[in-house]
Amino acid sequence: MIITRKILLLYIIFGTFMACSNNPYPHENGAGKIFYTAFSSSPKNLDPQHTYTMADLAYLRWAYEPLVDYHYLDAKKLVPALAEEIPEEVITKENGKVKEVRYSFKLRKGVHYINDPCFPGGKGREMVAEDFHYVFKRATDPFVACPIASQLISINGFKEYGAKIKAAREKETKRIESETGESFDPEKHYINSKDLYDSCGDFPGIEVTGKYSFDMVMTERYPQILYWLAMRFICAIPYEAVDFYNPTVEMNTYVPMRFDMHPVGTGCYRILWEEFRKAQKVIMVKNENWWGIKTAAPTTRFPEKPSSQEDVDRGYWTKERAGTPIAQFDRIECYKEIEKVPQFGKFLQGYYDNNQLPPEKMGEAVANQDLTPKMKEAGIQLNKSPQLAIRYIGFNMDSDLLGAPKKFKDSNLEQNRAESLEKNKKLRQALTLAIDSNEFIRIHLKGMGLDAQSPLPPGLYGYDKDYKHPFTYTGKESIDKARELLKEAGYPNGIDQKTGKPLELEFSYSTRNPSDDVRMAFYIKCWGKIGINVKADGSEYNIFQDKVRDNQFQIFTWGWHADYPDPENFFFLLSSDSAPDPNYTQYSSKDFDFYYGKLKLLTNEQSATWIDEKTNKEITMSRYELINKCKEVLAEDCPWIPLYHDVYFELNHGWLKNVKSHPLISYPFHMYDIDVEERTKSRKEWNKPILWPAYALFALLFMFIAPIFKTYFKERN
Amino acid sequence: MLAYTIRRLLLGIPTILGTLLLLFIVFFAASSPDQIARNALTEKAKPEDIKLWKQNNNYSFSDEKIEEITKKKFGENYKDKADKELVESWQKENMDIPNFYNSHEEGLGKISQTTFYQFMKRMVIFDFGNSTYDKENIWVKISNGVIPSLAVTVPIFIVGLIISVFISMLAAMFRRTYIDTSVVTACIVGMSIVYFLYIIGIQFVMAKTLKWYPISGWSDNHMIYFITLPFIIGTIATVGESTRFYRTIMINEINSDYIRTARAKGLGDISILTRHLLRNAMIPILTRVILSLPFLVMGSLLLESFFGIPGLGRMTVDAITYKDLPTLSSVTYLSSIIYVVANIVSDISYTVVDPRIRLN
Repeated sequence: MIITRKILLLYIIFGTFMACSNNPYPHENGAGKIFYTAFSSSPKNLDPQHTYTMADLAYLRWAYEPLVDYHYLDAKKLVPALAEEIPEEVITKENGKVKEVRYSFKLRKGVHYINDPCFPGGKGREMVAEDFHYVFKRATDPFVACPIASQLISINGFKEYGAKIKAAREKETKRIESETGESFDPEKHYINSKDLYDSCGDFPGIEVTGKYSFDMVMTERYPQILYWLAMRFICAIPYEAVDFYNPTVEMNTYVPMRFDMHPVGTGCYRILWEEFRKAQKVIMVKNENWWGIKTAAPTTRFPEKPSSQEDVDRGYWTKERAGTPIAQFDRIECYKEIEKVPQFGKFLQGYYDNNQLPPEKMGEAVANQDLTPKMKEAGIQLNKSPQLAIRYIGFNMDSDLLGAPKKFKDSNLEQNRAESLEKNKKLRQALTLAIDSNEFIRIHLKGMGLDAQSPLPPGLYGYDKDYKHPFTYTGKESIDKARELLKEAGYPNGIDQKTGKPLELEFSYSTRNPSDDVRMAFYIKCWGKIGINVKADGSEYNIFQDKVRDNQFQIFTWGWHADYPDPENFFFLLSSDSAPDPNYTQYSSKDFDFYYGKLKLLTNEQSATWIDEKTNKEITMSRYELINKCKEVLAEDCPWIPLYHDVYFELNHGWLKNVKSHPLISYPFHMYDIDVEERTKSRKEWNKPILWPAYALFALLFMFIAPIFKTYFKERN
Repeated sequence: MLAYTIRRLLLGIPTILGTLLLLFIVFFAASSPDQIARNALTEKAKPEDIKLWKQNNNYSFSDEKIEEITKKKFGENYKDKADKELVESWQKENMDIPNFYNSHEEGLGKISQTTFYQFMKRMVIFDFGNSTYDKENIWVKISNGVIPSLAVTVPIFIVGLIISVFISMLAAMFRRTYIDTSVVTACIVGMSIVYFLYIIGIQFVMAKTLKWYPISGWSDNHMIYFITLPFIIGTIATVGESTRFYRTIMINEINSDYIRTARAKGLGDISILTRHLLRNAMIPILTRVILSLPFLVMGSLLLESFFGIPGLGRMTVDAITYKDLPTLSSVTYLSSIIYVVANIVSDISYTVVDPRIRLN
């Protein structure tokens, strides 16, 4: 008994201090291809028609499939997914004007949803055209709050059908209230969506022409609509799942029983509910019903050919992988890691296969824009991924100092408005000239950004690497020029000539991170160099959003990430039609609107022709030329200071293959492959515990404790 | 004693309600219903989505009610007569249900049709509802988080208590020797280091450099494996402060007459320490122990965040980050209840350890 106790004691002491394994996956048996990654937040909402949160999009990307999708290697190219081919735009005109625009979709046959209890017998049924009819109807439903509803407005009857659903829902709500005698509570009462939409009749924007085909009917041209269809807002969703997993169903311990947390799609992966722990991990496993196992389609096979020589040189495309099925992993294990430090530590130990490099760990991994020798030795690869994004400083064009007072918008005061805009344009130009973006990128982003000269980021049609903004900072001469412009604007040396007082401006920004104040101080310092006193107005992100949306600011800074790879998706932020939201600057330029209006209806290969009102001559401009015109107008008016385009630095281990960053597919893990043997070998090699400090620790402890006993016995004797 | 307990329980009610009031004021001072809605929806949520969300979550009046109060303010035919911009801006400012006093209602409705009243009503009947961030049922969230939290905090607490009481007795026994000096020095050093640094430092040394333990992680089936390192950190970080506290008590007691008498009677050191010294030092120890209980249930914010433990501490951090008032208030409410109950239990327990104490 005594011996057993001693053994137990020794076990506790040594077992506790010497577990001697740092493997965070003790359950792993080494079988199969498993991909390990980490996210900083749990999934919030997995309703593909509602969520726009990056972390949610990862799961949705694997669980649901759209009609068309992006090519993995050629980011700007669309390929057919659930649609057999990308439909042509068919325009019907009446009296020279567009009467109707039609896209005919032919769906793939034999596509089944995952097996799920929402289907009779638990077996996933086949996807049919009626599902898309339902999905489009659901997109109009105000209750669903589809974030791209305003982009789908040109689909025939979209707005009206939404209003119909709203009215029908209100009627149904009242019926439930009168039947139950209590007020309607969305958590307790549920209105069946299929029945509700059926009661509203057919949606005129979608004409189902067969079991596997439907037409999308639009009232005007909007070529960018296909890009929206490549997102998961319009994807195959079974109505059975929406109505089965409704808020009135009790949650089953860890398994959420609401559709917005319970994806049921046709994608290559599905959530493994047995291991689902929302606050901790989400495991995705292969969908046994996935049509791509049998059918070769552009979205089910790795590209047959590389899109550029770079794909071959950097190993994005390999001969062995060409034409092989995607979804090589048996499991994708996503762990929640709030803190970046432990996450990065686990990546270095080989327990995460990839990691987005946090700026605070930049020095440890990257030096002079390249990996440190230590990282290279470990076979880690650096993926620099320029984002289709822009960070900018915006001026409030409705402010008295920077644009023109709101009251001048009155048609009778047009002259005053024009004068005010012209005078204050010089002030905006001066403020633009003072900003040294390259220095900001070097100091505050540690090189994780590209200097912006226009709203258009690299990789986008219309981007010209040789283009220079006329008011971009180039050194001391820019400061001198800015001072001159200030003088012309009526503020010599930053002093208002009218009042004799220094010009004071306010700069609003959000303080998401503690470092934001320091970063923003850089811009304020830049403006200080030309003698302008700018006051910092940092506020919590939500408050900042309110300020900007309510037009309660003078200067602000924000960013934009493209929804799709088209310049229209950047220029629309400054069109008059987009004011007040998302054109927060309230910028309004007839010239800009004119060129933007033309280019948004064109594909990259098309041109626009019109008769110039002044010269009465016919003018033809390619889309590229129209884009340049837009850039010119913006550069002259300076409603924005283009700051930089984000570049994400992602690290991945050498055992991960075919890793290419995609500007629009945030988590293309289903396209990767892995060398499990190499990973196992490296992990074993890197994670041998160092035991001597433990022995030294015990020795030290003994050296401290032994004299205690000595003293004790000495005293007592 | 029963009367005393009931009286204390009743006195605890205003304390709990006061906590809720304070939480409500602080929360709504920091965030408007619009901001809460935007957190719950997406960044790209449109004003009409925000309005609908607020209506569905009882932060805003229904369309009919807005129409009704607008008519009251601008007259029946306001649509034809009043300035549209003025009406819209007034509606925007007045569409949210008031926090404490609803002037648009009559009689008791002025109080009952307010955000605060509805909030308190739900709290009192323990109807926590769903999280505004991820719509998950809060009771489910809490029940899923309690076990991981307790798995970390209870061993830290028990082992930390045993170690610190043991060391403090040792220090008291060997007062003015190198042992006492070493203990005091170690305690002061231990107390001077912030908790965060313990986590970062020990995690770096033991998990990242020496590779003895996983850096972070969790598995319901391998709890001991994953809590070992947080347990070591938690124990080391807390033992210094508690040892110093217990040492002071032990030193006070060890100089007492009854200890001298016990020694004179020829009792052994172990017997003196455990049967006499410890028993008499029990009241402050017990107070500290019982008052620590609520913190055990509520988990450790930092440890859980750094070690990826899906407990209540991490849930609270998430609720603060995402401005999830229902979750945050539910956790605060429960912890204040446990705290009040723990206080009463602590008072009652004095009578158990010291028969001279009578509660009335």
